[in-house]
Amino acid sequence: MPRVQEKAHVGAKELTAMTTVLVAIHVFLDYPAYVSKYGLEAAWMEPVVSGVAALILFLCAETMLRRYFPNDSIVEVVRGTLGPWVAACIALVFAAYLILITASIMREFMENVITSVLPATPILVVGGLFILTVGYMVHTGLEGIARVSTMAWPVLVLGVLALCLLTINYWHPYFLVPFWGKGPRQVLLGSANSAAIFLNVLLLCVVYPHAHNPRDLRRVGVISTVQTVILLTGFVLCYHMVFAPEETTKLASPMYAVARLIHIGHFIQRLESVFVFMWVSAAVVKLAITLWSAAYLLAAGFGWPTYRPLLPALCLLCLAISLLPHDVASAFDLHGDVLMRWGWVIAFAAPLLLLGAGILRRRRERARRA
Amino acid sequence: MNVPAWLARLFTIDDGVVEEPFSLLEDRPGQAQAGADTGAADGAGERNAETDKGGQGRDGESAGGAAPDAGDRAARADSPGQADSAREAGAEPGEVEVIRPIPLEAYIRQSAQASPEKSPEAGLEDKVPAEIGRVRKAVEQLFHADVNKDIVIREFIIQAESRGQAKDGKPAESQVPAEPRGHAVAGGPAASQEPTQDGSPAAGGGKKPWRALAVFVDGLVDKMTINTHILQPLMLLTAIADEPVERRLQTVSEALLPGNQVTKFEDWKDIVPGILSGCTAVFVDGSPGALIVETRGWEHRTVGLAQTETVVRGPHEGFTESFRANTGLVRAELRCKDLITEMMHVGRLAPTDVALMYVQGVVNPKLVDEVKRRIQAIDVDYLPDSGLLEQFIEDNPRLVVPNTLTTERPDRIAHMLMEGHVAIFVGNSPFAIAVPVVFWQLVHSPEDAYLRFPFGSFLRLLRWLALSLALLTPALYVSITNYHPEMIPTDLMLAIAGSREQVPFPVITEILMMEFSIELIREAGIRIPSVIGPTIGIVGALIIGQAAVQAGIVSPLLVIVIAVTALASFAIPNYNLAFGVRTMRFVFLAAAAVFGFYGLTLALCWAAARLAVQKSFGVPMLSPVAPRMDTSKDVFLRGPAFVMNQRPVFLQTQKAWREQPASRPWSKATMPNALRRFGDSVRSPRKGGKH
Repeated sequence: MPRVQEKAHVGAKELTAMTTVLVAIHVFLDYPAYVSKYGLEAAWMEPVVSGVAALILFLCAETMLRRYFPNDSIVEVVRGTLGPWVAACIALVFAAYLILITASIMREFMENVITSVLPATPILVVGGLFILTVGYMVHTGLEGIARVSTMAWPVLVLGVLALCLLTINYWHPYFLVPFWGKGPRQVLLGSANSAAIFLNVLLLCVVYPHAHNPRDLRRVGVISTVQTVILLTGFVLCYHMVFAPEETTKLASPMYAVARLIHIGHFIQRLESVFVFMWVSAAVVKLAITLWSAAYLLAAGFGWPTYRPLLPALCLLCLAISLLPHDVASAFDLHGDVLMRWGWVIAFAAPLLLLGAGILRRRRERARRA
Repeated sequence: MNVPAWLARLFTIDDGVVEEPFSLLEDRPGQAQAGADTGAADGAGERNAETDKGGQGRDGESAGGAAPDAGDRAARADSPGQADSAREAGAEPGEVEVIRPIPLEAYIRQSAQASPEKSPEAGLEDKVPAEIGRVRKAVEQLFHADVNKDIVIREFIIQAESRGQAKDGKPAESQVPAEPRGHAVAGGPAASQEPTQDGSPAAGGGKKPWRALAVFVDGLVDKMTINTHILQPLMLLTAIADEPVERRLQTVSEALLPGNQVTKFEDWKDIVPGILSGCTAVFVDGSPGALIVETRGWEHRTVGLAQTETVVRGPHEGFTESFRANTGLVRAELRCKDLITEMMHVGRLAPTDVALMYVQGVVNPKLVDEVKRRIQAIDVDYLPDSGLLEQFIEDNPRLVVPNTLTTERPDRIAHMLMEGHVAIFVGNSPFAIAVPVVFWQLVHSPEDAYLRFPFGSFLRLLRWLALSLALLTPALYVSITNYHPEMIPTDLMLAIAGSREQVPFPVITEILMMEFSIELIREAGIRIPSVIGPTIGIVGALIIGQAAVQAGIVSPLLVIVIAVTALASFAIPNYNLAFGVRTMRFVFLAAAAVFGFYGLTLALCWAAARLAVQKSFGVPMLSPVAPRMDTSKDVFLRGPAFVMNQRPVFLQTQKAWREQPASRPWSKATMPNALRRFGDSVRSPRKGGKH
């Protein structure tokens, strides 16, 4: 069976940038506020704990893939071991989750845009333009997304760095004490609940056959996870040094709130609009990756040679789902309480279980043949 | 439903001019009335369009006469066979011939079948005949000598005589008087000395006159060369023994023509392009074939300063409108035995020389093959300039960013050839094309390399800033003033508001007016005669600067914004890229005007995604940045010359290294770095392309 986008091959550096952007974009969304709810002063520990856990799980998945299923994506593994019907069902589940993630983040993003930048513009217009851009980027394929990610990555890093440093005159290090915040248990709970943002495990299982050199994927996973953890932790630290612990849990758009504070002299102030650039571009890249993954999984699961005919339908579906929540609060609740809290099932547990099942099946077959 | 004519007339313009539109063709009697009867303007329009189409075909036929592919314009538009059959059937003038569309394959097949019949060579043999009279007739037919007055057919006599007579010192010129040039010779003195068919002397004792013919195009040749290197030796200085007829041409080539390039051809298809390219064809009676003697010498601009890519440090010369001079300039710059110049011809009616230059052993052979494949696929009547060839061969001509690099600097072409690019020269175009190109190269200037690297890097930074300003400044201004005024410090915001107090238009209208004015001045500045050129600057400054502000049409700050944008766009070194930036600026302006920073960012994402997947001859245009490749530091900034020792990876050249890994082995300042990067191997000299 021909593989979807068979000729697309991406280098290690592009994959690193892509996976980093995929996860690190959460600094611009409600992630800092979400982790603050659990850890308060110790919220910065949560990305570290989640990142370490994600890294361990990724290394397990990568080892299984490399040793038992070289050059196969997760769907191909399932098809080869559990059959095409199961592969289609699994692809459908993964794709549904990714579409939900895309729609949910899009809604958050749209609400943020309307609140901060374009208050008089209808949400449908904001979302429509956004999904059109995302759809176009997905249309360019894995190589297009990876290359744009490569260019967006330094912008993202510089943006987060600038955001942190330009608020240096508002830093209150004593906001970070007590050291354990609400306590280690809450930190662990918050880490577990927010670990689903580390979608890079799932993504790397999907793009495995498209890497120039699949042996590089371990390095890609490790570097991207470390970079992401540094960015997330750095921003959460900065956020907590700027705002009081209780306040950090209530802000809907932490990045925007931090950017609004910037006041370095008369001419460097109120730079939140500048951060709209990196915020929007990073969001486009992030959602393009998730939407591409969804389309790719569907095409691979059902054995279609290409995913492009799916794109208009998927874009429309994402837009429609994103408009389902009644208001901002329900949109944030859906994202935080459902997708973030239970996302680990899809992001970590399912790939590892499927790979484990595949390995068992393969071993059993070998034993039977022997 | 048919609307009655009287009713239709009530709802149409009752104007005789509309009913009888002007046409060069004679209208069929009653056609105008018919048009009025239907009362449908669209129908009349379509009819007229079809009539015009048919008319073009007939015009082509009448104007072209026996010209190659006469009336082919109509044939190319529709069907070659059908247009001809319609003419042959004696269709009435103005009669509409309904031509149904045919598939492309069928069209190509018909064209291939139709073209030999229309060819001027129809009825001619492929080979050049031996008898000089037939040669003359063939030449006259080929070049339409009856009407074509710049084709010169010079008939003369070569006095072959015994060597003994020549030694006697009898001057040969006493035997053959000088003749006037051109067609007038047909019945001139040479004709009066008609030799017999077997080549026996017609007059004089031991004389063996050979009839000969020189054919050239007036204006393309150097007459001095023809006189001194062809006619004089053949007519006056002849001192050879008579030869068998079949060896005459070889004897003339070997003993009588002192020209530096003389080639013998036997087919018309080789001889005709030679004549048309400024060479002189010499035919000798009895010998089938012709000698093509290099006599090119048409008027052209001498090599001068590069007009659009001037530098302070580095060579100043630019290409000119001479094909050979251009390739020669590169050869002079790059004295490399592996530098290959392959010649091709593009164009059916008027073939244009196209040269492909590359360095054998460096360039990727697949790239050369691909360039040749694309050029060979061009099927046009005429290719006037490299700008057109570029559009035929580039990957995506619709993209505003050029997919090829056009330059008028020989040094730049030489440098790119050594990097592994392929250069293309087209006819007499003063611009050469280099392929493939990556986006970053479009912002580079040759001067970056000639200056020390900190200054080269500084210039590049400046240009990147200029590119960003030229692309985004108006859009940013609109976004900030319309959507994000909080970004502006209060004092400045008050100042801007104060300056805009008198302006009655929205910001976007102001910007569009000013942009339009700038574009107008720029275009007028190019088209205006140079004598009054400086005036345009004064007028522009007056209109845009003082007068517009004083009249309250635009705000002073906007004048600064537009002026900075214009200045920045002039700093972009590539003319095609500058055009792209000018165009895209309006797209970003529109996005910013409607959705502020949000729209602008989305537009930038679209552009980045589009550019990310664009390729130029198989090379991603954003490489080596996206996709990332480890290559010499020659992208955003200019690295030190002694560090950039590898060719660009994206070109996949045969030789990766272009200089020693440690090119300053005597230097304690740079050698440790080289040792750190490449190890002890750098101490040994480079071997081949491997390191």
